[in-house]
Amino acid sequence: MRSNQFDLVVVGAGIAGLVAAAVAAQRGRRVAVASSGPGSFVFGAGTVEARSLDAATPGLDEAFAFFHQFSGEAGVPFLGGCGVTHLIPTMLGSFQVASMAPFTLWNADPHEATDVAVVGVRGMTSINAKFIAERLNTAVAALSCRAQYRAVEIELPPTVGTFPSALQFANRYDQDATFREQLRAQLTPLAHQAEALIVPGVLGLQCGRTEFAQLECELGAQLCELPTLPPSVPGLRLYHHWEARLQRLGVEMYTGFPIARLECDSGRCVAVWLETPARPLRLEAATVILATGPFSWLLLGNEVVGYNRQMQPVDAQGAPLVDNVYVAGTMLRGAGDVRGLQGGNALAILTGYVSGAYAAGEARFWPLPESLGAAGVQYA
Amino acid sequence: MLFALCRVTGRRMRPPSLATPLPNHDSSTITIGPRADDVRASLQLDRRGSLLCTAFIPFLVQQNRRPERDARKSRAASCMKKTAELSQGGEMEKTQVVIIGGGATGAGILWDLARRGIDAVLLEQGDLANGATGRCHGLLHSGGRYVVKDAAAAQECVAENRILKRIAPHCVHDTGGLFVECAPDDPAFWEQWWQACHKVGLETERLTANEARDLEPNLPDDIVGAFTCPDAHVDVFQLTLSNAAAAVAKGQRCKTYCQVEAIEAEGGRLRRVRYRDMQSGEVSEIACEVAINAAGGWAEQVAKLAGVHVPVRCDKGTLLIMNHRLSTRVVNRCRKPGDADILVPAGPVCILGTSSITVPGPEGLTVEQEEIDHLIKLGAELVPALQEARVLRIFCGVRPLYVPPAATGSGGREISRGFALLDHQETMAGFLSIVGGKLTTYRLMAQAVCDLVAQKLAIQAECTTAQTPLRAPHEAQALRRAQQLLPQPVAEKADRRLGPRLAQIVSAIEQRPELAEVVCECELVTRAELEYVLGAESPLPARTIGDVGRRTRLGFGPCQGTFCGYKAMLTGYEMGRWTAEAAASEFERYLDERWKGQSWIHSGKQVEQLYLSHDLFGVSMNFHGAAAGDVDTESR
Repeated sequence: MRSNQFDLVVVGAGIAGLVAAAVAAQRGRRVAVASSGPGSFVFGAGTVEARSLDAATPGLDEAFAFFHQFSGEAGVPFLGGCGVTHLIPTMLGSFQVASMAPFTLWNADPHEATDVAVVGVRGMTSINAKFIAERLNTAVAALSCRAQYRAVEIELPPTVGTFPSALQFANRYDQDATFREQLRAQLTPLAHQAEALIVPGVLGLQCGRTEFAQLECELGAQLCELPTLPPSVPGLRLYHHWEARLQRLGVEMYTGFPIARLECDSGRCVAVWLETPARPLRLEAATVILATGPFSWLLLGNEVVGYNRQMQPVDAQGAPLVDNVYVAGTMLRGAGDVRGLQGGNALAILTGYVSGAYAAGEARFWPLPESLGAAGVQYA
Repeated sequence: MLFALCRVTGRRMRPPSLATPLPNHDSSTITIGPRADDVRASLQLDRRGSLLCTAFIPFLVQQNRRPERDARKSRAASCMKKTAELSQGGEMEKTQVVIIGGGATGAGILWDLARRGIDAVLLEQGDLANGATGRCHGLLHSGGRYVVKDAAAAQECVAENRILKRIAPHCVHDTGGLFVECAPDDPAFWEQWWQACHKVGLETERLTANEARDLEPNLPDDIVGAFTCPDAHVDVFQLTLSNAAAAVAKGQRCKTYCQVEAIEAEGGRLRRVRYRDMQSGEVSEIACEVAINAAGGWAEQVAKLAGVHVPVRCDKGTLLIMNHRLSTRVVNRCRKPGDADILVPAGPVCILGTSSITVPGPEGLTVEQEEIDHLIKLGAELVPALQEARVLRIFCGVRPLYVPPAATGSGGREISRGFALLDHQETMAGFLSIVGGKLTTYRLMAQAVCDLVAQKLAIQAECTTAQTPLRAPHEAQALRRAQQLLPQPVAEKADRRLGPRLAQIVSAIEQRPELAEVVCECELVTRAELEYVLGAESPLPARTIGDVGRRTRLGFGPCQGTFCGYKAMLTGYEMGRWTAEAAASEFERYLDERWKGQSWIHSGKQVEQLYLSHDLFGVSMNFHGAAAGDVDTESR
């Protein structure tokens, strides 16, 4: 096979895209992932909401099982599972209800911890620990939990001439052992006085399960990470680990290049063209999976009006335009009502898995659930 | 003694000079000490305008040799009146004039009265510029739009245009304007327009098509030519706030989020106004001699409180804000006024408008998709790039048009844009209404109102607002200090917005370097400025996050407050303005308002931006949104 020939080209490196690539790679296919950036990982930590998909949805169990396994192998396991409901504090002092979340976000369910310190960093104005603690206390009163939150502050030296941000601290955590020491030194006295510490996302992109557990051990308290506004450090950490794992599986990553177009011929998509500098790059593909988010339907041209239950884009008559392209992730939801946004990550895991499996020659058929409005959906 | 009496009853009471701004009035500035009752009695003015002096004479003897005694007397008179009120110890506030409505007109009246030494309180149910003032193009008319149909209105615009550029240069961006001769339009109208401009003294030059396109490359290829004109953009919020802030500096009171509930009279004469603070719920009364209904689209409702009928036709106009400037000048279409024929560059964005649709009232306004498509289609005939431009926000406002009893059911644009000053003395002496008009002539409207008020109060004081700058000029020194602490564009924007207040912000940053952080990256607002507008020292403190936006432009850029609104909320919390729950509720309200203006946009990048905001706060944070807030933990 020539160097630019692939069994599968995945466009889009969000959760759906990377899951699809992982499935196909694990089943022995030659895979490339092309994307402009880290996709949905910049936005959030990958928390999967509890109320999104029906447990009986075809393929869901298998998809989630794969997801757990793959994430664990990548060093960033998810905790929880289908049917679990777990509360995760947010930086606005509310609780997100999750069935699964990365391990760094798991340890502050108010039903489980009682005395929690919310750690703010002086000068880092993207979160306010006092605000969070005050609001969380109000929220738990309504839930009749015994958990109590209080705000504490640490001081971390910012890079000279800048204003401290979570991502800046996270990068320094990765690069600078002195910085890690300083953080640990600041957290140690706080850890003595509380059962759990909620810290903003500063624990570095390279911090995997082992390092995290080690830090908890040294501090003698449970740690929970608080995702800040985008760019999300926990999200980028997932991306970093998954990318490494995918590369170990032989997946080629073409990151930073927007897709220019799909080259189609006689009812098949034969190649994906990327806008690389100087001249476009052509990746030949036996199968293409598009997981480029809700606003990217224009890629498929004007004839596409929706997709079928096999996740293939279809025209007004319901016939697939090409037979080797699948659509996965929130792209399936399109730019519809902004209020119906929940469950995006669950949808991404399911459809990423299913489309990746199809691309790898999966014989079984897992029809998309009715609730997605499949078959002839119109998207703006 | 008689001689001294004549001095006091002198024909003129010159208002205090502007050279030294008045200190905020409190009782410690009064050193002479007639008893409060005597002072009030002695200041009573009878209808002929002469001062009845009884216990006033000791004061006279001390004061009458000083050179600026007239100025001091009127200032002292005002001071003393206030002291009398304060030292009364009673519950009720007092003033001479209550102004209902805090748009440009109301704020302009507050300032004009301040200049004339007349005490006034402004009551506004929302934030300043809540109504038509805050929902228009922000066009400082040259008069070209009215010159053919309404020469009088055009002439007013010509004069006021010059005046506002002189007194409020910090609010006006003198972009200049063009009236474009578009291929489909009527050449006879262009001739008419040209002649009419000369008649009213509107400066204009005729350009060829090439010359016009050299100036504005985004004009269509097939234009025939264009006329220049002195149109400009005015920041409506800064203009209103400047009037109010200048008035407050002179001792006037300005209360936002205070809705008038009752206007009470005794014996056919206005006595007091009752209002409710919409945030605290507190109800207060204020005794006054004159009340001015400057409530714009709500003028009819307010008049009803006084038992007066003021028919106001609410004419809705929808405007689109595009994400970047498509022209450097105001671009008008040279034809009979119609929809979508004005494009105004407004800072980093441009505003396209507008429509004219009669609506039942000033609230509950919605925008239909057809209206938006219609506006863009028409606008694209003037500037074709509008078809592809990113719509940032859509909003609508209501033109409050006064319908004189004689007018028949004519359309919104046919009713004169002139204003009407109504004296309701038959029903309630002391109650006035000012209706109609337009932003460009707000100062003139205020002048007419204040002339009448002065006459009613038998105070002789001329209008000086046309000659008086609204704000002292900036200090170059403060700008230099700012440039050392902040990136150049940030310093420049702060300088323009803050003017003489920049020094204060710079000092704050020098003391606390963390205040140099840029909180709103789209509009370059520093944390120092944010704390200033939220703080108590600000003349018109922000009471909501939206207020912060109007004072600093925070949240006006592409993110529409998603990130900076959150930071503003935290800052207000940190400063103790709100508890955590109150701050969260306030942020929810702010998000709703920001989302609303984007929800009508159906295509383009802004749809993604809105999606991001909903996804972040509604889903990821489970904070605010249709399904947010639910923490039901029943297992499935």
